[in-house]
Amino acid sequence: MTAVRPRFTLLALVACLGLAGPLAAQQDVVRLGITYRAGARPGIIVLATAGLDSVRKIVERDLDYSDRFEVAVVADSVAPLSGELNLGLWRQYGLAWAVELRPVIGGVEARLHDLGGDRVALQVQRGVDPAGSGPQRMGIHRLSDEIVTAVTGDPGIAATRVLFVNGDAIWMIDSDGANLTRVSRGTGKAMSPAWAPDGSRIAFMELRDYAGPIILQNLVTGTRQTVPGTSGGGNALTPTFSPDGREMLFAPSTEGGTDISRVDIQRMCCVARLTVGGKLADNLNPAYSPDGRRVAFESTRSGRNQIYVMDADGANQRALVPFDGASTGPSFAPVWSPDGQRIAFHRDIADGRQIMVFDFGTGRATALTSLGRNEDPSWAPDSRHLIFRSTRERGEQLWILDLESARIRQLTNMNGAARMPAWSPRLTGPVS
Amino acid sequence: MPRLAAFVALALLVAACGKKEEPAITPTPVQTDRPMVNQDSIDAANAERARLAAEQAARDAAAAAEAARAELVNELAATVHFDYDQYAIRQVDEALLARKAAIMRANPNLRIRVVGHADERGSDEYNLALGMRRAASAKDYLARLGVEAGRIETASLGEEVPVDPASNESAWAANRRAEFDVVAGGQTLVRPTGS
Repeated sequence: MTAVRPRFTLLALVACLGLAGPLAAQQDVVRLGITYRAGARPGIIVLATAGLDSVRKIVERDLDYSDRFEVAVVADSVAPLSGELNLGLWRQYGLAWAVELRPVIGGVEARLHDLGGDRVALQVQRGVDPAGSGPQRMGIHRLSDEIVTAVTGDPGIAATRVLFVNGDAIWMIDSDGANLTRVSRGTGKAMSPAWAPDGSRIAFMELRDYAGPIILQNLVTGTRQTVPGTSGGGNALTPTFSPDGREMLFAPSTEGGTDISRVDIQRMCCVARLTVGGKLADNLNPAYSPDGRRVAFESTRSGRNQIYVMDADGANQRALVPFDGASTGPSFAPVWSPDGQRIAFHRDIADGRQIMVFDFGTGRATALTSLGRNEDPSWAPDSRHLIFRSTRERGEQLWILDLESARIRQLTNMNGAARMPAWSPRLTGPVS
Repeated sequence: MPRLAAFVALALLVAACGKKEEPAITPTPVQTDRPMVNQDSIDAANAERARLAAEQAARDAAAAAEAARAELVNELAATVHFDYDQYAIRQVDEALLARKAAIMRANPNLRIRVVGHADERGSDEYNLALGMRRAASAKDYLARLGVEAGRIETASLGEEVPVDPASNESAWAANRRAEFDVVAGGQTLVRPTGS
């Protein structure tokens, strides 16, 4: 099927519904032509009764950002529902799925119609604000994720957030770009945010008075604690939580060098050093494997920074991503994909800086970007989306890349650079 | 005024008791009085002039001392630079560091902070590590020249505080640096002997 046919069919559709004049229909064709290419991915349409426009738009955007559907975006005059869905009509225009949103007391009911199988694949009611505003947005995002799960078997990533640095503060933003919020409240320069695995706490370094301890901040209560072993001078770089949330790895950086240490953040004690670069090499940027048994990290032990791996107790340290002496550009900031299959990092290549992915299956690293300076990758929970900072357009902002479709979208539009993004786990707790 | 009146009375009395041949022209008491008053003023003025001169001299001396001190502080604060992704002290900066060491040896109460910086290449976090290497390298160099290590604090600001925010070779070269601040004992400084 070509990309042309649906344009005609949907033009016909708009016309036959008789809900839009000729001019509106013309605009609809343009919008539909841009956003719906039948055949590439399953087509889906989101329809809602009047009053649920905000919810419909959020779900529509979530499904689009999942990069698993071709979302048929129709004019506001077409999307409202009254009475029964004409499933046959949507099926006729090449769509595979239709989402029907109706109000119920205290929330919304969503029905996912499998147009091919002529069945309701999902029927859920959720207590969300029909206006689709404020903290209740996360409930709508969860609804979107359930739809993704019902269709693909894999959970979506709409109900997630991203921490990042702008100016001197840590900020948080929803995965769809809404709810931009300042999170850190200190007077220092906050850097290197990290999520606890349950999404309830974050950690970051706060540089103030020429030293950088690590602050643990509870997102629900707002309480702050300084992590033991991080306030004795120097900078405590690159904190990361273990997958069980009990331990933290970080890289205390002092005159003696920069090496990776582990600290028990359940009992707030017991700092142990895992690498011994000392005066000879820097070791930093630890990243746990999802099972918590291994740690990828960045080391200068061969000269320039490259990506290494070790057991979680520091044993068995070895190069992970192949490099060729000094001819391979220095490589930084490894992050392990949640499915354990890949390591993303960034590498200085010629005058640029590119996002790379090392695949455990092939044992090779490939560049995902080629435009501008790109750095600080972080994985989405679905292991197919990466967020990173990029200079590809004006300024330095956060961009999200879908590794399967190669679609890319801009998440932030801040004054000043947005950097050091950290994608949250799927959020289910009270914080959302 | 009472004193003036007494003088006038005394003068009239003397005149009355003197010879009566010809009327003497007696200076008016006010006139005889005037030189004494002037002398007081002159003394006061001279004292004031001397005081002002002494103050000026003190100010000049203080300014000279401050200028000398500021020159020493400037020498202590002079920035050293580094090659890309390196932290070894460059030969061109060795004399500058030797001078810092001499000033510190001559002023045992002096304490300084070395802050390492990096250019924007690499990762932001690695650049904090690299800045620390540079600060430690400068400190080690001074320590080898006889400065007690305990008098030198170190810190790193990585690429967070560039002197030139541009993305080109000259900006990068300017940003790869270690800066030196006096943190204590800098109120009075003596010049190292032989300089």
